Amino acid sequence: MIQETEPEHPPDSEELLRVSGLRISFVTRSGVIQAIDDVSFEIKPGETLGLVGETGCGKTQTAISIMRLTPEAGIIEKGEIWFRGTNLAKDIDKEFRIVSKKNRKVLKRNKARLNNLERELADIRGNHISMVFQEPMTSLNPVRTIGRQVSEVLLTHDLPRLSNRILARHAVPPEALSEVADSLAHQRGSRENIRELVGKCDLPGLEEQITSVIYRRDISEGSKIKRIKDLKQQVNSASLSFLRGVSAQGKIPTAYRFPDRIPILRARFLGILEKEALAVSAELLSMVGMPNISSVLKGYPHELSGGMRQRVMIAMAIAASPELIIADEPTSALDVTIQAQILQLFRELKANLNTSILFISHDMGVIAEICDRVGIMYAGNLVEIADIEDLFSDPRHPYTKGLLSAIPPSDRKVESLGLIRGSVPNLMNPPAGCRFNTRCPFVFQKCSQMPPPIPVKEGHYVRCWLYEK
Amino acid sequence: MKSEVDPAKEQRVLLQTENLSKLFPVKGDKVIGGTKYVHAVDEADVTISENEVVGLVGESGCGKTTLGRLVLRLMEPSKGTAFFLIPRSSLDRYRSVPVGSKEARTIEKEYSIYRFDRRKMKEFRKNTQIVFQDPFSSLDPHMTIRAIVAEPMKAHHYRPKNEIDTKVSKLLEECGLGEQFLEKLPHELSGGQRQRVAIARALAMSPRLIVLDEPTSALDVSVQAQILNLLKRFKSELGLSFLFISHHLAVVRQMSDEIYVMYAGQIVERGETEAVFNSPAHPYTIALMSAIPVPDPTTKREKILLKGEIPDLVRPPGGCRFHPRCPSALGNCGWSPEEVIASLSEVLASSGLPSVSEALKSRDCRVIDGQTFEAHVGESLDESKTESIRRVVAEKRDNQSHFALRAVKEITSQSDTTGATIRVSLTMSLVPKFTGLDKRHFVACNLFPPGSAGRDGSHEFGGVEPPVRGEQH
Amino acid sequence: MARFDQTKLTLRILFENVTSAAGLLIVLGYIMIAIIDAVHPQLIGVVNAFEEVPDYTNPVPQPPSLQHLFGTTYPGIDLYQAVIAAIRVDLWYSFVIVLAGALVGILVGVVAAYYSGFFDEILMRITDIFLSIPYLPFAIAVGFVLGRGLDELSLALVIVWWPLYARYARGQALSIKENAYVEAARASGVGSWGIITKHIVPNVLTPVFVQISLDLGTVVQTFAALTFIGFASANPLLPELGKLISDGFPYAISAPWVVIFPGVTILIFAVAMNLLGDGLRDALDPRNRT
Repeated sequence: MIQETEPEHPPDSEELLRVSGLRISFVTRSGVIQAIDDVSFEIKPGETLGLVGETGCGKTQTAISIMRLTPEAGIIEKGEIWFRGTNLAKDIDKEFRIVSKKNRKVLKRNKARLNNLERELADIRGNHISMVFQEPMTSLNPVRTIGRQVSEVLLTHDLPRLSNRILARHAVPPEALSEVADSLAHQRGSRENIRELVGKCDLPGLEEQITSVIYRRDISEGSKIKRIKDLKQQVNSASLSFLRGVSAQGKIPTAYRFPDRIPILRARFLGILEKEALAVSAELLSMVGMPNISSVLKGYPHELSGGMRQRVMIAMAIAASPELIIADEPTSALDVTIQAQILQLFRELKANLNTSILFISHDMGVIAEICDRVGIMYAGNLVEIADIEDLFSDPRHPYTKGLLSAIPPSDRKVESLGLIRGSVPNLMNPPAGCRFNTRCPFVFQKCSQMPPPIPVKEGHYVRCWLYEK
Repeated sequence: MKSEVDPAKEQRVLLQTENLSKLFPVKGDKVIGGTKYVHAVDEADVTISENEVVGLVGESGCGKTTLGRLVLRLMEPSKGTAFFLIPRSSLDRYRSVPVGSKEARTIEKEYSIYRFDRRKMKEFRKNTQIVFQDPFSSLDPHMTIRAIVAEPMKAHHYRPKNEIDTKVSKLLEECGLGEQFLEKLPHELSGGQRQRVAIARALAMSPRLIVLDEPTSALDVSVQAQILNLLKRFKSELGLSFLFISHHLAVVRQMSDEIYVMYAGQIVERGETEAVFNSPAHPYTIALMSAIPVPDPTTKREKILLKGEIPDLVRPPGGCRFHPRCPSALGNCGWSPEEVIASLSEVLASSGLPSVSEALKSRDCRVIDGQTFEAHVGESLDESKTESIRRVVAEKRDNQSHFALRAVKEITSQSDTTGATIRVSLTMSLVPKFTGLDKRHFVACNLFPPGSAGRDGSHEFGGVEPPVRGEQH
Repeated sequence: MARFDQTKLTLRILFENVTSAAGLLIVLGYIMIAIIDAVHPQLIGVVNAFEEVPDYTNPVPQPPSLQHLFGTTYPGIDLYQAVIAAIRVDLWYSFVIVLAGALVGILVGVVAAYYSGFFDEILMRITDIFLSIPYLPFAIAVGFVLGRGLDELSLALVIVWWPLYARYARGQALSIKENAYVEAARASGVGSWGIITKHIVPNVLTPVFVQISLDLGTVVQTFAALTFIGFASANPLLPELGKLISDGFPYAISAPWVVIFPGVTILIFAVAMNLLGDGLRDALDPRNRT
């Protein structure tokens, strides 16, 4: 029997995401794979949690289950996923029945997922939680331009932001712009600092736009002054009422939902927003350090290198200002020097945006650079979780220790690398109790039962009977 | 010719490449003026001795995979050669005579793998093997494990035939796979197990040299540790040599005795592993090593972030191919007139000389040869204006985005009725040659100008100070 | 043995889908009929498996009845017996044609892909030439020159069919050639011929197999079409589906069963073969095999 490790309760306001008792199985032709068993963790706002493990440990499946993107063959049998006050897994009781038929579990699915949940998930995905994948080439649409793909995120999730920007440009008195331009155009420094200074000028709705211009390193000061002054825009009354409607309702007002049969009208109004989205896309690309922005926007994914594509993915992920970014091995497909650039980008985003990140990797070095906390997964269990320095300086779980000793050190030569004998168990028939007990050098009687997370220090939990009080 | 040393007993180099180059024609691109080529490997000299592990490190596109294939003649080179089991004396002889001379060709006929006839080729194939990166596509999905490992033995007509099976079982056992794996098909095995099969296959005919192309890059950390330990054991027990190709610096450090660092088809640094890791000399090597993420959150290491991307090898940068990204580039590192024009035009635009900047970008600018270009400006330029251009160049060239300006040697202007013509001449660029930092550490970089004598600078250098930046002209 | 398990898995997947299972069963049914007909025709009620048996006392085509399950056709031939025997004949010829075409085509395609370069170009241009031959006029031409027998017809069809396989096999071989295990074999000292026979051809066969199964349905129809227009064996009483239709054609209006039964027999086979081919393609797709 699986022990309940967390009683059912919604998270406190300290947490952004709480995953509780997650259990996911996959039904295949040859049997049921118990991929994830009793996984629980939380992420606080602004925190970066790393999830480390080797092939088959379930880290990717855990991450994508948060957005309920588990593939068809996978079922969430148990667990809660609390995000922004809602349990994203509240429909799981209705989702399936596992029927035993001649020793083979056959999945019979009740396809009627709660409609409300689908709508909530659509609102969350890309908007409050976004994802960066490992293989940027397959995650970008090869037949659409970069500009359109990034714009699409904005047009789907953040229309008021676009309309507000235009309205602000319409409303601002031109003298105020001149003043700001003259006084701040020469500013250098981090984006944060510039934004602060601009914020003090009391020009609501224009902070982002002005900051973007000032922050650019590739144009001259004179150019910047001109561009800031040019922000002033006159919008005609028909468009004004359209934009006000968008800002007020958060979506395109019904009156303006022209059918595709009248493309001219659609283009007239929607086109305004599309143009704005493209401008915001340019700002986003500059935030992720992309060179040659104007040609990139017009270009296609195959024209970019791996590192640049990954930057585009990151730009799309931060576009709607999500509270949580799930990054699944975002640098594993990149060269070492490019990886260093992308990790630097992640660090900057962490500092500037206060987003939480769930960072999945098999590379402990990368994890050490980026994460505040890290969880170690093995064969579908979360076996240890701790603050980052704590985990590296004081690993407790035998698997964690084995994993750390198997990493080839880059600073000296060693005789031989640490080994973990045996191999990962078949998850169709996982060992009873602690799934590491077939390989653990310290295994003893009690290990045939699954240990609960045992606190060994502040914020440091291990699922291992060796640490039982 | 009577040599002092009996060639049969003399020291031999297991594998030595000389000036090995490979160009791949680009398909389909019909450019006026001929086919375009990808300059994948450029003049590589690699030495592999008996019972040695040579590591080949670099990022994608650096040519290490191609070099690995060339060394086993799984590909034919465009230029250069590679010798197998060549006696030291013949190698020295080869290097001292002119290329293409009769003597050189005789030596090639004897020892160059690209000139081997069928018989010698068979011998070579028996003595060399390869293990690939992808454990999934390196085993034929239709063959049983037993058949896969036995294949090389069958191909070389291993005798006695009835012992093949026992040998296969023994090899698999040595690699940690039991009897039950013999009849399985590859897809039933995990990645780590497949790599073990690949290694067992490689050992089947007891080769002297095995090329391992990223053998553990597709494996988990713990499985990688097992495989690396296995390889180390085989190396010491069987006296093998490996050419260990990887982009993973920590792994290469653990495995190799000597390493070669490659960038964009060129070898930029080589030497004893510890020497190169402890005191990397080439700016690329330094940047590469600083980029490795260390599994220790407490080390806050200064990371050198290279700007830009790995270059397109159809038109690789001139001189040292790393110069556009190098944080320590000098004026003679291979800047082309185009690169200098772009940089100059940019700095002049924001320094109050927009007319000149525009002229440089327009068609009024002509490249005269590899070291000079001219631009015609609409207005006249007196000496003070020309001097201000020189001043801007001197100011801006310490900014890494404008290192190209370091190549500027002289700026002159001449005015006439239509305006003025600016003439800029550049320093001659130098393709860096290998210099010895000490007996077992060599670097090809203009920061370390060549000493004297010998292609590999076998002259004790000792305590070299790189020239102060900006002074190089 | 591992390879046997593979076959079992394929069969299991085929049966999961109604259409492919139906296709498989029907095709197997036809093959069974052909075999029984050759070996022990009495089992299924056939008296003479190798020839139609005319009954001149009753030449007019009779509708289906208890004595004659499918009725009779001119001149008094029991249609049921004729159709059963014809199945055997048609299946035999079709299999031979497809297999011969595949053999030649695969060989040409694989060799072209392996050696590439100029050799590849030449072989492929030759293939293109053959590919552009329209089967109908060509078959008629061959019939004119060599004679209108079934063997000559088969030859004509093989000539027209092999280029498809050459193209297809070449495509497969090109991608297989890039696999690491081919390079490994070369590094192990395996010669070119060894690589072709031991590594490339076996791996090409799996996808080609699907193509073969799809083609069988088409060939049966084509063969029948050509025998309908006039190709026939030396023995005018050799039962053959196309010939049965053409023989019964003059009576089609008054005695429709004479063309319906042979026609439907062809149709069912073609459809079943198609379903089976589709099913096989899905079943052999590695993604569906867990």
